[in-house]
Amino acid sequence: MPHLAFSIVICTHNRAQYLAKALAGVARQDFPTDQFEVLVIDNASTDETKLVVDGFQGRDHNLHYVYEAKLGLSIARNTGWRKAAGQYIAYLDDDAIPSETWLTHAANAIEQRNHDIGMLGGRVEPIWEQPRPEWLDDQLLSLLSMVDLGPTTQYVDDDFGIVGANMIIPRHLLEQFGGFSSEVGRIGNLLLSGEETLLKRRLAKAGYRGYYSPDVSVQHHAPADRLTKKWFLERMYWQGRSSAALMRLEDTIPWSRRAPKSALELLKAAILFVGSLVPGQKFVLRARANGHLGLAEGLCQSGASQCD
Amino acid sequence: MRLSLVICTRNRADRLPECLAALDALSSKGNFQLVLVDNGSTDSTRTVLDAYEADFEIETVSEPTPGLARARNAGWRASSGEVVVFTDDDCYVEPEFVEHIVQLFAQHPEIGFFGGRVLLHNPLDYPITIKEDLAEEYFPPFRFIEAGKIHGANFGFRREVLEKLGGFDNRLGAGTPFPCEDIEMVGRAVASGWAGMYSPIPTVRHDHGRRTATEVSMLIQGYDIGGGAYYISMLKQKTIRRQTVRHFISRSMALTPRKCFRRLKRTMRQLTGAMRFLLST
Repeated sequence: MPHLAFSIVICTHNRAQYLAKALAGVARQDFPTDQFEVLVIDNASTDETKLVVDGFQGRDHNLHYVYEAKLGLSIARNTGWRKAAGQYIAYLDDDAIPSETWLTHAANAIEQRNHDIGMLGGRVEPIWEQPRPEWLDDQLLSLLSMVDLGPTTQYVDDDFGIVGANMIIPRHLLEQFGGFSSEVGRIGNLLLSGEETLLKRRLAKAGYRGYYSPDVSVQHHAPADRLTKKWFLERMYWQGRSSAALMRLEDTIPWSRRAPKSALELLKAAILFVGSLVPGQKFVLRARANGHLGLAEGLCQSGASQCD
Repeated sequence: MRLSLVICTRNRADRLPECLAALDALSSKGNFQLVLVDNGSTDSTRTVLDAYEADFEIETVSEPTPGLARARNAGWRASSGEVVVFTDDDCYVEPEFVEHIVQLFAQHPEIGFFGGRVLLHNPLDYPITIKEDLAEEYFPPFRFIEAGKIHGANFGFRREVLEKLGGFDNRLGAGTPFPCEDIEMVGRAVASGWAGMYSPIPTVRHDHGRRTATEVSMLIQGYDIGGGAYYISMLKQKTIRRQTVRHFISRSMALTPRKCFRRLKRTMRQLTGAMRFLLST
Protein backbone atom coordinates (compact mmCIF):
# COMPACT_ATOMS: atom_id res chain seq x y z
CA MET A 1 0.00 0.00 0.00
CA PRO A 2 1.32 3.41 -0.92
CA HIS A 3 1.75 6.20 1.52
CA LEU A 4 -1.73 7.69 1.57
CA ALA A 5 -4.00 4.79 0.72
CA PHE A 6 -7.41 6.06 1.78
CA SER A 7 -9.36 9.27 2.06
CA ILE A 8 -12.44 8.73 4.17
CA VAL A 9 -15.11 11.16 2.95
CA ILE A 10 -18.10 11.88 5.18
CA CYS A 11 -20.73 14.16 3.69
CA THR A 12 -23.07 15.63 6.27
CA HIS A 13 -26.02 17.98 6.49
CA ASN A 14 -27.28 19.09 9.92
CA ARG A 15 -26.59 15.84 11.76
CA ALA A 16 -23.89 16.83 14.23
CA GLN A 17 -24.93 14.22 16.82
CA TYR A 18 -24.58 11.33 14.38
CA LEU A 19 -21.40 12.76 12.90
CA ALA A 20 -19.70 12.61 16.30
CA LYS A 21 -20.32 8.86 16.45
CA ALA A 22 -19.06 8.36 12.91
CA LEU A 23 -15.86 10.28 13.66
CA ALA A 24 -15.34 8.33 16.86
CA GLY A 25 -15.61 5.13 14.81
CA VAL A 26 -13.10 6.47 12.31
CA ALA A 27 -10.70 7.30 15.15
CA ARG A 28 -10.80 3.66 16.31
CA GLN A 29 -9.50 2.24 13.00
CA ASP A 30 -6.69 -0.27 13.46
CA PHE A 31 -5.19 0.89 10.17
CA PRO A 32 -1.89 2.88 10.27
CA THR A 33 -2.96 6.47 10.84
CA ASP A 34 -0.38 7.87 8.47
CA GLN A 35 -1.94 5.93 5.60
CA PHE A 36 -5.34 7.59 5.60
CA GLU A 37 -6.95 11.00 5.95
CA VAL A 38 -10.50 12.04 6.84
CA LEU A 39 -12.52 14.70 5.08
CA VAL A 40 -15.78 15.96 6.50
CA ILE A 41 -17.78 17.71 3.79
CA ASP A 42 -20.18 19.99 5.63
CA ASN A 43 -23.04 20.41 3.18
CA ALA A 44 -24.52 23.74 4.25
CA SER A 45 -25.20 22.68 7.83
CA THR A 46 -26.64 25.24 10.19
CA ASP A 47 -26.12 23.24 13.40
CA GLU A 48 -22.96 22.60 15.43
CA THR A 49 -21.32 20.37 12.78
CA LYS A 50 -18.21 22.55 12.64
CA LEU A 51 -17.80 22.40 16.43
CA VAL A 52 -18.05 18.62 16.41
CA VAL A 53 -15.32 18.38 13.77
CA ASP A 54 -13.15 20.84 15.70
CA GLY A 55 -13.53 18.59 18.73
CA PHE A 56 -11.88 15.75 16.86
CA GLN A 57 -9.00 17.84 15.51
CA GLY A 58 -5.55 17.19 16.91
CA ARG A 59 -5.92 13.44 17.26
CA ASP A 60 -3.32 11.46 15.40
CA HIS A 61 -5.19 11.05 12.13
CA ASN A 62 -5.46 13.63 9.44
CA LEU A 63 -8.85 15.35 9.73
CA HIS A 64 -9.97 18.05 7.32
CA TYR A 65 -13.11 20.15 7.45
CA VAL A 66 -14.51 21.33 4.09
CA TYR A 67 -17.60 23.52 3.80
CA GLU A 68 -19.75 23.02 0.69
CA ALA A 69 -22.45 25.68 0.49
CA LYS A 70 -24.35 24.15 -2.41
CA LEU A 71 -26.85 21.60 -1.12
CA GLY A 72 -26.92 18.16 -2.73
CA LEU A 73 -25.36 14.82 -1.86
CA SER A 74 -23.74 14.35 -5.27
CA ILE A 75 -22.24 17.81 -5.08
CA ALA A 76 -20.81 17.13 -1.63
CA ARG A 77 -19.44 13.76 -2.68
CA ASN A 78 -17.74 15.31 -5.68
CA THR A 79 -16.20 18.03 -3.54
CA GLY A 80 -14.99 15.15 -1.35
CA TRP A 81 -12.96 13.29 -3.95
CA ARG A 82 -11.70 16.48 -5.55
CA LYS A 83 -10.21 17.65 -2.26
CA ALA A 84 -8.90 14.22 -1.32
CA ALA A 85 -5.30 13.07 -1.65
CA GLY A 86 -5.74 9.33 -1.01
CA GLN A 87 -5.60 6.68 -3.69
CA TYR A 88 -9.00 5.26 -2.68
CA ILE A 89 -11.98 7.30 -1.61
CA ALA A 90 -13.88 5.60 1.20
CA TYR A 91 -17.36 7.10 1.41
CA LEU A 92 -18.99 6.77 4.79
CA ASP A 93 -22.45 8.10 5.69
CA ASP A 94 -22.61 10.58 8.52
CA ASP A 95 -24.97 8.24 10.39
CA ALA A 96 -22.77 5.17 9.95
CA ILE A 97 -20.10 3.78 12.29
CA PRO A 98 -17.28 1.78 10.68
CA SER A 99 -16.00 -1.41 12.30
CA GLU A 100 -12.46 -1.12 13.72
CA THR A 101 -11.10 -3.27 10.91
CA TRP A 102 -12.97 -1.45 8.14
CA LEU A 103 -9.95 -0.02 6.33
CA THR A 104 -7.70 -3.02 7.05
CA HIS A 105 -10.18 -5.36 5.37
CA ALA A 106 -10.68 -2.91 2.55
CA ALA A 107 -6.94 -2.81 1.95
CA ASN A 108 -6.80 -6.63 1.89
CA ALA A 109 -9.67 -6.87 -0.58
CA ILE A 110 -8.07 -4.28 -2.83
CA GLU A 111 -4.74 -6.11 -2.79
CA GLN A 112 -6.46 -9.29 -3.92
CA ARG A 113 -8.63 -7.78 -6.66
CA ASN A 114 -6.89 -4.62 -7.57
CA HIS A 115 -7.30 -4.81 -11.32
CA ASP A 116 -11.04 -4.70 -11.81
CA ILE A 117 -12.55 -3.21 -8.67
CA GLY A 118 -14.75 -0.26 -9.52
CA MET A 119 -16.47 -0.10 -6.17
CA LEU A 120 -15.86 -1.96 -2.96
CA GLY A 121 -18.42 -2.42 -0.23
CA GLY A 122 -19.43 -4.78 2.52
CA ARG A 123 -21.98 -5.42 5.20
CA VAL A 124 -24.09 -2.54 6.41
CA GLU A 125 -25.75 -3.56 9.66
CA PRO A 126 -28.66 -1.75 11.27
CA ILE A 127 -28.54 0.10 14.56
CA TRP A 128 -32.21 0.07 15.49
CA GLU A 129 -33.21 3.31 17.15
CA GLN A 130 -36.46 1.71 18.15
CA PRO A 131 -37.51 -1.95 18.02
CA ARG A 132 -37.77 -3.24 14.48
CA PRO A 133 -41.45 -3.16 13.41
CA GLU A 134 -42.91 -6.59 12.62
CA TRP A 135 -44.16 -5.45 9.19
CA LEU A 136 -40.65 -4.49 8.13
CA ASP A 137 -39.73 -7.31 5.78
CA ASP A 138 -36.08 -8.14 5.01
CA GLN A 139 -36.73 -7.15 1.40
CA LEU A 140 -37.27 -3.58 2.53
CA LEU A 141 -34.05 -3.25 4.51
CA SER A 142 -32.11 -2.10 1.46
CA LEU A 143 -34.20 1.08 1.51
CA LEU A 144 -32.55 1.90 4.81
CA SER A 145 -29.22 1.30 3.04
CA MET A 146 -28.66 -2.01 4.82
CA VAL A 147 -26.63 -4.71 3.04
CA ASP A 148 -26.00 -8.32 3.93
CA LEU A 149 -25.04 -10.65 1.12
CA GLY A 150 -23.74 -13.33 3.47
CA PRO A 151 -20.26 -14.33 4.62
CA THR A 152 -18.60 -14.88 1.23
CA THR A 153 -16.78 -12.31 -0.85
CA GLN A 154 -18.33 -11.83 -4.26
CA TYR A 155 -18.80 -9.60 -7.24
CA VAL A 156 -22.08 -7.69 -7.12
CA ASP A 157 -23.77 -6.36 -10.20
CA ASP A 158 -27.21 -5.40 -8.93
CA ASP A 159 -28.10 -1.96 -7.62
CA PHE A 160 -28.38 -2.80 -3.93
CA GLY A 161 -25.19 -4.74 -3.22
CA ILE A 162 -23.12 -1.66 -2.52
CA VAL A 163 -24.65 1.43 -1.00
CA GLY A 164 -23.46 4.97 -0.54
CA ALA A 165 -23.24 4.48 3.22
CA ASN A 166 -20.21 2.24 2.74
CA MET A 167 -18.48 2.40 -0.61
CA ILE A 168 -14.86 2.64 -1.58
CA ILE A 169 -13.87 3.83 -5.05
CA PRO A 170 -10.44 4.32 -6.64
CA ARG A 171 -9.84 8.03 -6.97
CA HIS A 172 -8.58 7.75 -10.54
CA LEU A 173 -11.88 6.20 -11.62
CA LEU A 174 -13.88 9.02 -10.07
CA GLU A 175 -11.67 11.38 -12.01
CA GLN A 176 -11.99 9.42 -15.21
CA PHE A 177 -15.80 9.10 -14.99
CA GLY A 178 -16.44 12.59 -13.67
CA GLY A 179 -17.68 11.50 -10.25
CA PHE A 180 -21.35 11.62 -9.32
CA SER A 181 -23.99 13.07 -11.57
CA SER A 182 -25.80 15.89 -9.85
CA GLU A 183 -28.86 15.39 -12.02
CA VAL A 184 -30.08 12.65 -9.72
CA GLY A 185 -29.33 12.38 -6.05
CA ARG A 186 -30.93 13.46 -2.88
CA ILE A 187 -31.50 17.17 -2.73
CA GLY A 188 -31.91 18.28 0.87
CA ASN A 189 -34.58 16.03 2.31
CA LEU A 190 -36.16 14.97 -0.98
CA LEU A 191 -36.44 11.23 -1.33
CA LEU A 192 -34.56 10.84 -4.59
CA SER A 193 -31.59 8.56 -4.93
CA GLY A 194 -29.56 6.96 -7.61
CA GLU A 195 -26.36 8.94 -8.02
CA GLU A 196 -24.20 6.01 -6.92
CA THR A 197 -26.23 3.63 -9.07
CA LEU A 198 -25.54 5.71 -12.14
CA LEU A 199 -21.81 5.74 -11.44
CA LYS A 200 -21.85 2.01 -10.71
CA ARG A 201 -23.47 1.32 -14.07
CA ARG A 202 -21.03 3.54 -15.90
CA LEU A 203 -18.12 1.78 -14.22
CA ALA A 204 -19.60 -1.64 -15.04
CA LYS A 205 -19.89 -0.71 -18.71
CA ALA A 206 -16.16 -0.01 -18.74
CA GLY A 207 -15.37 -3.34 -17.06
CA TYR A 208 -14.96 -2.18 -13.45
CA ARG A 209 -17.13 -4.22 -11.15
CA GLY A 210 -18.63 -3.96 -7.72
CA TYR A 211 -17.02 -6.18 -5.12
CA TYR A 212 -18.53 -7.23 -1.81
CA SER A 213 -16.27 -8.18 1.06
CA PRO A 214 -18.41 -8.81 4.16
CA ASP A 215 -15.81 -7.62 6.66
CA VAL A 216 -15.57 -4.19 5.08
CA SER A 217 -18.46 -3.49 7.37
CA VAL A 218 -20.17 -0.53 8.95
CA GLN A 219 -23.13 -0.08 11.24
CA HIS A 220 -25.80 2.28 10.03
CA HIS A 221 -28.57 3.99 11.95
CA ALA A 222 -32.16 3.05 11.21
CA PRO A 223 -33.63 6.31 12.51
CA ALA A 224 -36.89 6.15 14.43
CA ASP A 225 -38.59 8.66 12.14
CA ARG A 226 -38.05 6.37 9.15
CA LEU A 227 -39.50 3.29 10.75
CA THR A 228 -43.02 4.15 9.66
CA LYS A 229 -45.08 2.62 6.87
CA LYS A 230 -45.58 6.04 5.37
CA TRP A 231 -41.83 6.58 5.03
CA PHE A 232 -41.33 3.23 3.29
CA LEU A 233 -44.20 3.81 0.88
CA GLU A 234 -42.89 7.21 -0.11
CA ARG A 235 -39.32 5.95 -0.29
CA MET A 236 -40.39 3.11 -2.60
CA TYR A 237 -42.34 5.49 -4.80
CA TRP A 238 -39.36 7.84 -5.16
CA GLN A 239 -37.04 4.90 -5.69
CA GLY A 240 -39.18 4.10 -8.72
CA ARG A 241 -39.14 7.69 -9.88
CA SER A 242 -35.35 7.72 -9.49
CA SER A 243 -34.98 4.55 -11.52
CA ALA A 244 -37.06 6.10 -14.28
CA ALA A 245 -34.95 9.25 -14.15
CA LEU A 246 -31.82 7.09 -14.34
CA MET A 247 -33.07 5.20 -17.37
CA ARG A 248 -33.76 8.43 -19.17
CA LEU A 249 -30.44 9.91 -18.14
CA GLU A 250 -28.42 6.96 -19.36
CA ASP A 251 -29.93 6.98 -22.80
CA THR A 252 -32.77 8.83 -24.41
CA ILE A 253 -35.53 6.31 -24.80
CA PRO A 254 -38.24 7.38 -27.22
CA TRP A 255 -41.81 7.43 -25.98
CA SER A 256 -42.67 4.50 -28.22
CA ARG A 257 -40.37 2.33 -26.11
CA ARG A 258 -41.15 3.95 -22.79
CA ALA A 259 -44.91 3.46 -23.20
CA PRO A 260 -44.92 -0.35 -23.09
CA LYS A 261 -42.42 -0.30 -20.20
CA SER A 262 -44.58 2.12 -18.30
CA ALA A 263 -47.69 0.04 -18.99
CA LEU A 264 -45.95 -3.09 -17.77
CA GLU A 265 -44.82 -1.41 -14.56
CA LEU A 266 -48.32 -0.09 -14.00
CA LEU A 267 -49.71 -3.57 -14.47
CA LYS A 268 -47.24 -4.93 -11.91
CA ALA A 269 -48.27 -2.19 -9.49
CA ALA A 270 -51.93 -3.04 -10.01
CA ILE A 271 -51.37 -6.76 -9.45
CA LEU A 272 -49.35 -6.14 -6.30
CA PHE A 273 -51.96 -3.68 -5.06
CA VAL A 274 -54.76 -6.19 -5.56
CA GLY A 275 -52.57 -8.80 -3.86
CA SER A 276 -52.03 -6.51 -0.90
CA LEU A 277 -55.79 -6.28 -0.35
CA VAL A 278 -56.01 -9.97 0.47
CA PRO A 279 -56.40 -10.18 4.28
CA GLY A 280 -53.23 -11.20 6.06
CA GLN A 281 -51.04 -10.06 3.18
CA LYS A 282 -47.76 -8.46 3.94
CA PHE A 283 -46.96 -4.78 3.82
CA VAL A 284 -44.10 -5.49 1.46
CA LEU A 285 -46.56 -6.05 -1.43
CA ARG A 286 -47.98 -2.59 -1.06
CA ALA A 287 -44.50 -1.13 -0.80
CA ARG A 288 -43.42 -2.90 -3.96
CA ALA A 289 -46.55 -1.71 -5.72
CA ASN A 290 -45.45 1.82 -4.90
CA GLY A 291 -42.04 1.16 -6.42
CA HIS A 292 -43.52 -0.04 -9.70
CA LEU A 293 -45.93 2.85 -9.70
CA GLY A 294 -43.13 5.39 -9.31
CA LEU A 295 -41.33 3.78 -12.22
CA ALA A 296 -44.47 3.79 -14.37
CA GLU A 297 -45.17 7.42 -13.56
CA GLY A 298 -41.57 8.50 -14.15
CA LEU A 299 -41.55 6.79 -17.54
CA CYS A 300 -44.62 8.60 -18.81
CA GLN A 301 -43.48 12.07 -17.84
CA SER A 302 -42.43 14.40 -20.59
CA GLY A 303 -39.57 16.88 -20.58
CA ALA A 304 -36.25 16.64 -18.82
CA SER A 305 -37.47 17.55 -15.35
CA GLN A 306 -38.84 14.30 -14.02
CA CYS A 307 -37.71 15.10 -10.52
CA ASP A 308 -40.45 17.59 -9.63
CA MET B 1 -79.63 35.44 -0.87
CA ARG B 2 -76.48 35.63 1.20
CA LEU B 3 -73.28 34.83 -0.68
CA SER B 4 -69.87 33.95 0.76
CA LEU B 5 -66.76 34.19 -1.39
CA VAL B 6 -63.88 31.98 -0.25
CA ILE B 7 -60.30 32.64 -1.35
CA CYS B 8 -57.54 30.30 -0.23
CA THR B 9 -53.92 31.36 -0.39
CA ARG B 10 -50.50 30.00 0.40
CA ASN B 11 -47.16 31.86 0.32
CA ARG B 12 -48.15 34.48 -2.21
CA ALA B 13 -47.96 37.60 -0.09
CA ASP B 14 -46.46 39.69 -2.89
CA ARG B 15 -49.25 38.98 -5.37
CA LEU B 16 -52.17 38.90 -2.96
CA PRO B 17 -52.77 42.69 -2.82
CA GLU B 18 -53.80 42.69 -6.49
CA CYS B 19 -56.35 39.95 -5.92
CA LEU B 20 -57.74 41.83 -2.91
CA ALA B 21 -57.79 45.14 -4.77
CA ALA B 22 -60.16 43.66 -7.35
CA LEU B 23 -62.59 42.93 -4.53
CA ASP B 24 -62.70 46.61 -3.57
CA ALA B 25 -64.42 47.28 -6.88
CA LEU B 26 -67.29 44.86 -6.22
CA SER B 27 -70.53 46.71 -6.79
CA SER B 28 -72.59 44.67 -4.34
CA LYS B 29 -71.46 44.95 -0.72
CA GLY B 30 -74.62 43.96 1.13
CA ASN B 31 -75.47 40.43 2.10
CA PHE B 32 -71.96 39.44 1.08
CA GLN B 33 -69.11 37.93 3.04
CA LEU B 34 -65.47 37.37 2.12
CA VAL B 35 -63.61 34.46 3.71
CA LEU B 36 -59.83 34.43 3.42
CA VAL B 37 -58.01 31.19 4.20
CA ASP B 38 -54.30 31.12 4.94
CA ASN B 39 -53.18 27.58 4.06
CA GLY B 40 -50.03 27.27 6.13
CA SER B 41 -48.09 30.14 4.60
CA THR B 42 -44.58 30.77 5.88
CA ASP B 43 -44.21 34.23 4.35
CA SER B 44 -46.01 37.45 5.35
CA THR B 45 -49.37 36.30 3.95
CA ARG B 46 -51.09 36.51 7.32
CA THR B 47 -50.00 40.13 7.76
CA VAL B 48 -51.34 41.03 4.32
CA LEU B 49 -54.65 39.30 5.07
CA ASP B 50 -55.03 40.92 8.49
CA ALA B 51 -54.27 44.35 7.06
CA TYR B 52 -56.97 44.08 4.41
CA GLU B 53 -60.02 46.19 5.08
CA ALA B 54 -63.11 46.74 2.96
CA ASP B 55 -66.71 47.86 3.37
CA PHE B 56 -68.04 44.31 3.52
CA GLU B 57 -67.76 41.56 6.07
CA ILE B 58 -64.39 39.75 6.16
CA GLU B 59 -63.56 36.54 7.95
CA THR B 60 -59.96 35.31 8.09
CA VAL B 61 -59.21 31.69 8.95
CA SER B 62 -56.14 29.55 9.04
CA GLU B 63 -55.66 25.95 7.87
CA PRO B 64 -52.07 24.96 8.66
CA THR B 65 -52.00 21.64 6.75
CA PRO B 66 -51.23 22.22 3.05
CA GLY B 67 -53.87 21.03 0.58
CA LEU B 68 -56.41 23.09 -1.31
CA ALA B 69 -59.31 20.80 -0.40
CA ARG B 70 -58.55 21.25 3.30
CA ALA B 71 -58.30 25.00 2.83
CA ARG B 72 -61.58 25.24 0.91
CA ASN B 73 -63.26 23.15 3.62
CA ALA B 74 -61.95 25.44 6.35
CA GLY B 75 -63.26 28.36 4.27
CA TRP B 76 -66.85 27.26 3.69
CA ARG B 77 -67.19 25.94 7.23
CA ALA B 78 -66.26 29.39 8.55
CA SER B 79 -68.70 31.07 6.16
CA SER B 80 -72.40 31.77 6.58
CA GLY B 81 -73.69 32.24 3.02
CA GLU B 82 -76.47 30.16 1.48
CA VAL B 83 -74.26 30.06 -1.58
CA VAL B 84 -70.51 29.54 -1.22
CA VAL B 85 -68.32 30.65 -4.13
CA PHE B 86 -64.63 29.90 -4.56
CA THR B 87 -61.97 31.74 -6.51
CA ASP B 88 -58.17 31.60 -6.37
CA ASP B 89 -55.53 33.96 -5.05
CA ASP B 90 -54.23 34.62 -8.56
CA CYS B 91 -57.64 35.66 -9.91
CA TYR B 92 -59.33 39.04 -10.24
CA VAL B 93 -63.10 39.15 -10.00
CA GLU B 94 -65.13 41.50 -12.18
CA PRO B 95 -67.19 44.19 -10.37
CA GLU B 96 -70.62 42.56 -10.91
CA PHE B 97 -69.39 39.12 -9.88
CA VAL B 98 -71.64 38.79 -6.84
CA GLU B 99 -74.88 40.02 -8.47
CA HIS B 100 -74.35 37.74 -11.45
CA ILE B 101 -74.07 34.66 -9.26
CA VAL B 102 -77.00 35.63 -7.05
CA GLN B 103 -79.08 36.11 -10.22
CA LEU B 104 -77.99 32.77 -11.62
CA PHE B 105 -79.07 30.87 -8.51
CA ALA B 106 -82.33 32.86 -8.35
CA GLN B 107 -83.18 32.06 -11.97
CA HIS B 108 -82.27 28.39 -11.54
CA PRO B 109 -83.57 27.36 -8.14
CA GLU B 110 -82.97 23.69 -8.98
CA ILE B 111 -79.19 23.86 -9.46
CA GLY B 112 -76.82 22.90 -6.67
CA PHE B 113 -73.62 24.25 -8.18
CA PHE B 114 -72.30 26.50 -10.94
CA GLY B 115 -69.07 27.19 -12.77
CA GLY B 116 -68.19 30.55 -14.29
CA ARG B 117 -65.92 31.95 -16.95
CA VAL B 118 -62.16 32.14 -16.40
CA LEU B 119 -60.32 34.50 -18.74
CA LEU B 120 -56.60 34.85 -19.35
CA HIS B 121 -55.52 38.02 -17.57
CA ASN B 122 -52.07 38.49 -19.02
CA PRO B 123 -51.82 37.89 -22.77
CA LEU B 124 -48.15 36.96 -22.32
CA ASP B 125 -49.12 33.93 -20.24
CA TYR B 126 -49.75 30.60 -21.87
CA PRO B 127 -53.47 30.22 -22.72
CA ILE B 128 -54.04 27.35 -20.35
CA THR B 129 -56.06 26.71 -17.16
CA ILE B 130 -58.79 29.05 -18.46
CA LYS B 131 -62.35 28.51 -19.60
CA GLU B 132 -63.55 31.08 -22.09
CA ASP B 133 -66.64 29.38 -23.54
CA LEU B 134 -69.51 31.73 -24.23
CA ALA B 135 -72.22 29.07 -24.36
CA GLU B 136 -74.15 28.11 -21.26
CA GLU B 137 -74.06 24.44 -20.41
CA TYR B 138 -76.49 22.55 -18.23
CA PHE B 139 -75.35 19.56 -16.20
CA PRO B 140 -78.22 17.23 -15.41
CA PRO B 141 -78.14 15.08 -12.29
CA PHE B 142 -76.68 11.57 -12.44
CA ARG B 143 -74.65 12.36 -15.54
CA PHE B 144 -70.85 11.98 -15.47
CA ILE B 145 -69.19 15.38 -15.77
CA GLU B 146 -65.87 15.67 -17.54
CA ALA B 147 -62.87 17.29 -15.81
CA GLY B 148 -62.35 20.79 -17.23
CA LYS B 149 -66.05 21.60 -17.58
CA ILE B 150 -65.93 23.56 -14.35
CA HIS B 151 -62.85 25.31 -13.01
CA GLY B 152 -61.85 25.68 -9.38
CA ALA B 153 -60.90 29.30 -10.08
CA ASN B 154 -64.56 30.25 -10.39
CA PHE B 155 -67.23 27.94 -9.04
CA GLY B 156 -69.64 27.60 -6.18
CA PHE B 157 -72.25 25.50 -4.39
CA ARG B 158 -75.41 25.88 -2.42
CA ARG B 159 -74.37 25.43 1.20
CA GLU B 160 -76.73 22.47 1.46
CA VAL B 161 -74.68 20.51 -1.13
CA LEU B 162 -71.42 20.99 0.74
CA GLU B 163 -73.03 20.11 4.04
CA LYS B 164 -74.79 16.98 2.82
CA LEU B 165 -71.71 15.64 1.04
CA GLY B 166 -69.25 16.55 3.78
CA GLY B 167 -67.36 19.05 1.67
CA PHE B 168 -64.21 18.53 -0.37
CA ASP B 169 -62.05 15.40 -0.15
CA ASN B 170 -59.09 16.34 2.06
CA ARG B 171 -56.71 14.07 0.16
CA LEU B 172 -57.01 16.25 -2.93
CA GLY B 173 -56.09 19.70 -4.20
CA ALA B 174 -52.95 21.71 -4.91
CA GLY B 175 -50.45 20.88 -2.19
CA THR B 176 -51.20 17.16 -2.67
CA PRO B 177 -50.29 15.10 -5.76
CA PHE B 178 -53.91 15.28 -6.99
CA PRO B 179 -55.12 18.71 -8.15
CA CYS B 180 -58.74 17.71 -8.75
CA GLU B 181 -60.65 18.64 -5.58
CA ASP B 182 -62.86 21.06 -7.56
CA ILE B 183 -64.24 18.69 -10.18
CA GLU B 184 -64.38 15.84 -7.65
CA MET B 185 -66.71 17.86 -5.43
CA VAL B 186 -68.85 18.71 -8.47
CA GLY B 187 -68.80 15.06 -9.55
CA ARG B 188 -70.08 13.88 -6.20
CA ALA B 189 -72.81 16.51 -6.28
CA VAL B 190 -73.94 15.26 -9.68
CA ALA B 191 -73.75 11.64 -8.56
CA SER B 192 -75.97 12.48 -5.59
CA GLY B 193 -78.67 13.96 -7.76
CA TRP B 194 -77.85 17.65 -8.01
CA ALA B 195 -77.99 19.57 -11.25
CA GLY B 196 -75.65 22.39 -12.08
CA MET B 197 -74.58 24.69 -14.85
CA TYR B 198 -71.79 26.57 -16.50
CA SER B 199 -72.57 30.20 -17.11
CA PRO B 200 -70.28 32.57 -19.01
CA ILE B 201 -71.61 35.56 -17.09
CA PRO B 202 -69.83 35.49 -13.70
CA THR B 203 -66.26 36.15 -14.74
CA VAL B 204 -62.78 36.17 -13.22
CA ARG B 205 -59.46 36.90 -14.87
CA HIS B 206 -56.71 34.39 -14.15
CA ASP B 207 -53.20 35.79 -13.72
CA HIS B 208 -51.42 32.42 -13.59
CA GLY B 209 -48.00 33.49 -14.84
CA ARG B 210 -47.04 30.25 -16.61
CA ARG B 211 -45.01 31.02 -19.70
CA THR B 212 -42.42 28.32 -20.34
CA ALA B 213 -43.04 24.95 -21.96
CA THR B 214 -41.77 23.22 -18.80
CA GLU B 215 -44.22 25.06 -16.54
CA VAL B 216 -47.07 24.19 -18.87
CA SER B 217 -46.07 20.56 -19.16
CA MET B 218 -45.71 20.24 -15.37
CA LEU B 219 -49.22 21.66 -15.00
CA ILE B 220 -50.69 19.22 -17.52
CA GLN B 221 -48.89 16.28 -15.93
CA GLY B 222 -50.36 17.31 -12.60
CA TYR B 223 -53.85 17.52 -14.12
CA ASP B 224 -53.44 14.04 -15.59
CA ILE B 225 -52.48 12.59 -12.21
CA GLY B 226 -55.45 14.41 -10.65
CA GLY B 227 -57.66 13.19 -13.51
CA GLY B 228 -56.83 9.62 -12.56
CA ALA B 229 -57.77 10.25 -8.94
CA TYR B 230 -61.05 11.81 -10.16
CA TYR B 231 -61.93 8.68 -12.15
CA ILE B 232 -61.30 6.51 -9.09
CA SER B 233 -63.48 8.71 -6.95
CA MET B 234 -66.30 8.60 -9.51
CA LEU B 235 -66.01 4.83 -9.77
CA LYS B 236 -66.96 4.74 -6.10
CA GLN B 237 -70.25 6.49 -6.91
CA LYS B 238 -72.81 3.80 -7.75
CA THR B 239 -75.05 6.11 -9.77
CA ILE B 240 -72.45 7.07 -12.35
CA ARG B 241 -70.01 4.20 -12.20
CA ARG B 242 -70.84 2.78 -15.62
CA GLN B 243 -70.77 6.18 -17.26
CA THR B 244 -67.34 6.79 -15.76
CA VAL B 245 -65.97 3.62 -17.30
CA ARG B 246 -67.57 4.42 -20.64
CA HIS B 247 -66.22 7.93 -20.57
CA PHE B 248 -62.70 6.81 -19.77
CA ILE B 249 -62.71 4.31 -22.61
CA SER B 250 -64.14 6.73 -25.15
CA ARG B 251 -61.60 9.38 -24.13
CA SER B 252 -58.67 7.00 -24.38
CA MET B 253 -59.65 5.42 -27.67
CA ALA B 254 -59.83 7.15 -30.99
CA LEU B 255 -60.74 6.21 -34.53
CA THR B 256 -57.24 6.20 -35.90
CA PRO B 257 -54.29 4.39 -34.33
CA ARG B 258 -52.15 7.50 -34.64
CA LYS B 259 -54.56 9.61 -32.60
CA CYS B 260 -54.88 6.81 -30.15
CA PHE B 261 -51.12 6.69 -29.72
CA ARG B 262 -50.94 10.43 -29.20
CA ARG B 263 -53.48 10.18 -26.42
CA LEU B 264 -51.68 7.27 -24.87
CA LYS B 265 -49.29 9.36 -22.78
CA ARG B 266 -52.08 11.26 -21.10
CA THR B 267 -54.08 8.07 -20.61
CA MET B 268 -51.06 6.38 -19.07
CA ARG B 269 -50.57 9.30 -16.72
CA GLN B 270 -54.21 9.19 -15.71
CA LEU B 271 -53.86 5.50 -14.99
CA THR B 272 -50.75 6.06 -12.87
CA GLY B 273 -52.62 8.85 -11.09
CA ALA B 274 -55.51 6.49 -10.43
CA MET B 275 -53.12 3.89 -9.08
CA ARG B 276 -51.32 6.43 -6.94
CA PHE B 277 -54.60 7.56 -5.45
CA LEU B 278 -55.60 3.98 -4.69
CA LEU B 279 -52.24 3.27 -3.12
CA SER B 280 -52.30 6.41 -1.02
CA THR B 281 -55.53 5.51 0.70
